[in-house]
Amino acid sequence: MKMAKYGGWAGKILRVDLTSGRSGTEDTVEKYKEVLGGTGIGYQVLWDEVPAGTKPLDPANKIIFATGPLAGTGAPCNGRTAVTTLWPTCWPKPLVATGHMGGQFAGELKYAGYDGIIIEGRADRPVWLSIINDQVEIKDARSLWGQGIRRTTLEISQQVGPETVVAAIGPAGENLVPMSVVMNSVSHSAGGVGSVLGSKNLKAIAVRGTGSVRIAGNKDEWEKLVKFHLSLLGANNQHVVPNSPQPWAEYYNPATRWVASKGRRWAAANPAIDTGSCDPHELNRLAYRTNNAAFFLGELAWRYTVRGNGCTSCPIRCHTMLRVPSVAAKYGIKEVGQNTCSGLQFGKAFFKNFPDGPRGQTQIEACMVGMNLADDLGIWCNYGQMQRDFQKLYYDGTIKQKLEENEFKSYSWDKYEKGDPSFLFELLPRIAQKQGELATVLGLGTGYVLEKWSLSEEEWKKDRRLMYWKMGHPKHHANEDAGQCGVIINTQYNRDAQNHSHCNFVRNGLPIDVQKGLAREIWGSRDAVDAAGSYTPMNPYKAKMAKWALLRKELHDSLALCNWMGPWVASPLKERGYRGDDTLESMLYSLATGDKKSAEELDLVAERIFVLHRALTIRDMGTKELRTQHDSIPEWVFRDSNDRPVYTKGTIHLDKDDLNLALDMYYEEMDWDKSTGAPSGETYQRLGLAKIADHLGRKGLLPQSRGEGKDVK
Amino acid sequence: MVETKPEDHSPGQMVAHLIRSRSESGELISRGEILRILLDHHLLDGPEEELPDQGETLIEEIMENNADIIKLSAVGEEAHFFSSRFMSEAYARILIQKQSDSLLLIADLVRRNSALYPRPTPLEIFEQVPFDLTKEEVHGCLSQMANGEEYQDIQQTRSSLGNIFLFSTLHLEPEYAAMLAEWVDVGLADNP
Repeated sequence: MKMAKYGGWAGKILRVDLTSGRSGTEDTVEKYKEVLGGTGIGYQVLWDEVPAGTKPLDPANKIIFATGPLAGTGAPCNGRTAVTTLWPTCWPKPLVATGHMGGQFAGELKYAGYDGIIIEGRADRPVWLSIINDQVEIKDARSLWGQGIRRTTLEISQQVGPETVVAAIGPAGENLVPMSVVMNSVSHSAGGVGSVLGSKNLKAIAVRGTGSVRIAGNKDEWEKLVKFHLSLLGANNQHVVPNSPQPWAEYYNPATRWVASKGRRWAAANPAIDTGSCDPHELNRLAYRTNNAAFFLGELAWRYTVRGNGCTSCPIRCHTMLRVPSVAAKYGIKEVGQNTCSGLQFGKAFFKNFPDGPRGQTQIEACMVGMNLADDLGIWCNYGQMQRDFQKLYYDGTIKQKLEENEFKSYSWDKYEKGDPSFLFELLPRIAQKQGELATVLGLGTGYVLEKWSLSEEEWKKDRRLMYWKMGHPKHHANEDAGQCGVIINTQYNRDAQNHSHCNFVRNGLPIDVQKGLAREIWGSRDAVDAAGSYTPMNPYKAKMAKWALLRKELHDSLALCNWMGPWVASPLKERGYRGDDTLESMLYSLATGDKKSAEELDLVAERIFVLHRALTIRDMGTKELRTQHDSIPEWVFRDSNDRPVYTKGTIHLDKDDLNLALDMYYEEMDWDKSTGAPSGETYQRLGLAKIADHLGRKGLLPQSRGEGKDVK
Repeated sequence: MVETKPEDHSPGQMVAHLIRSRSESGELISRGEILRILLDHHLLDGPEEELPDQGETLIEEIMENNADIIKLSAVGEEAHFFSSRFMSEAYARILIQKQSDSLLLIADLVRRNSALYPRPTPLEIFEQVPFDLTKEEVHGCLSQMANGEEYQDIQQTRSSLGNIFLFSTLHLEPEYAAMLAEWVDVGLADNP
């Protein structure tokens, strides 16, 4: 058998046309090597195959599940699948975006022999896709339609085998609720895409692979590199400092997710496990560092912690598994649940108050009920925006005003106000089933809620507590993380930014002087970063950091590394001066694939991928004026509740003129036209995207000349 | 892990091993305890009245021959030892101050955190390992600090959850400390 030229990639992309029922494969390297995988493949397919003006639920829309060359290898944190499509909640016009799921799907798909799946068309009846190595079958899903994600996963696993990984939608996706997910491995979801799968009548994709991923380079070097990478890992979000004093630690910081400590126990494990002091050199104890339930829900969560759960080849285990016996009797649900971050807090986040306070038993029960319902019905929270909108709309009287009296009275608002988690049984199933005005509207996503109920987006943009940013989506690590850098990043996407490169650095827990020292090495100046809440005016190094953060996110999403963990430019190792290694991705890529690329060369590929996203946005918006029509900043960023001047210590609001300058510097760093915020023909050319420049040029979507900055919208 | 077996080595190596082992467990060891162990195990030779001096000499030699063995002592207190291979100086300082002066322990830590990161310090941390103060002791310290001239820079701020944070006005302005306390206590969970 002839050995593939490159390692890393499985070598094939599976294409499934649900309309015709046909499937086939394409050569990954031949067609997509220049965009690596993941979001790169997703953007490329949408550019090549889905014309502007296509609607998310049209059969002509495609949805691309793509991993990357590092998925399924031994590289840490490689369990990511990017799910790219036209985004149903992007408002007022659907544009390209991606959801990202961890779990075991990416690795299993690689072992089955595929780097990605392109789903197109629409089946004439509910189906599920069975992929067992090279056996691909479209199967009847009528008996699964209407079932929750858990039962669907179970039934398919019983048919195909226990090692099968199932990614499924719930009733929310089936019912074309835009705020819906696809989920694999119990709790690992890609938000926002469930209805696209529902529109194609595709209930689930089940994958079983018995192959392996070939490493092209020397195996000893690979093992050494993987060990090196492991040695640089911190806790979840690459927090490299423990949150309480530990014997070995020079520093500690209560803000980090490195919560392990002697005496802090996974008390619901049998026997209970003491997480211990977790010296960073003890790599076999990496998985004890993180307990996101304890981080988000407080000390009480330790009592209910069974263990951490996570993705293929990731020792971080950020999905904390909880066993809360009281919920079985009280709510009739499973006493075990698991998730992380927003998914963990899905139920809790609907409520303003709980009878026993914000860190008591009831909030934990609300989380358990929320996970049980949302992760079965397949509902998406949009980084908590659904819950923030709900609170706002209830407490300002909008819900009462907009609903018919009968519908309003059909909800137990007294329960809601008291913080009774059983209220979620009234609300969440109705969202998934589109039952009634309130549930249907909430399921649309913020932008369409505003439109449907004739509410002002400007009001959402003024209220910092709502965290709303633009285009129907919230901020995601904006000015609260890295000031101007966070703001720039949040202007760039068509959904919440989902970028962690910058916040993983500024939240890593190290003292500001150490962070500044690292910043000088990475971005050229100590001034690239400020201490939290002690911001300084914009400078070119912050623009460099923003570009770096954006490119690393796209790189991770295309290699199939986790941007919730990377980049690894800081580490817990005192002997390294807390340095990580900014060339880690290129070392892993080069050894795995055999395609030797320096960090700079790989960043150029990442830039190509990111600019492809920009080009798709320009094409589908039909304008090159992205600076004024896309890269907007909500008014709340410029406001301080106590009217303190900008750059005063203790405020994170920023100055409008300074952010105009920030965009100027960022566009310049990206080699984009400052006037429009659009890449120039030369930029596309430099990145090997000349055909895209030609297309956009013909449509009048290339900037004509470089101009001065315009006002921030 | 401390990798050597003490019984295979000289008294000096055994003591170094002991210091490292204690450090790995998060503990200091005092000069007095080291001397007692040496005497109890008959690891020193010579006339009885010379044994304490022999012990002192041995400890000096251990420090000369093992760069990771560090001596630390609070003012007027007995010397303690730790291994920098297994314990940071910051942690060792907490342990040594804990033995001598809780007020200074709290104030030093709060000042250091306020200057270094910068950030306020949650009060609850003093009830946890390695401080292990009781709630009453912590609040007793705060009362004494309020009346002590040398602690007037140590101030309190409260997050919206009602949790108290301490900060030093030498390094943090009150409004800044309040913002940082709210960020740690509430903001991080709301911005996951």
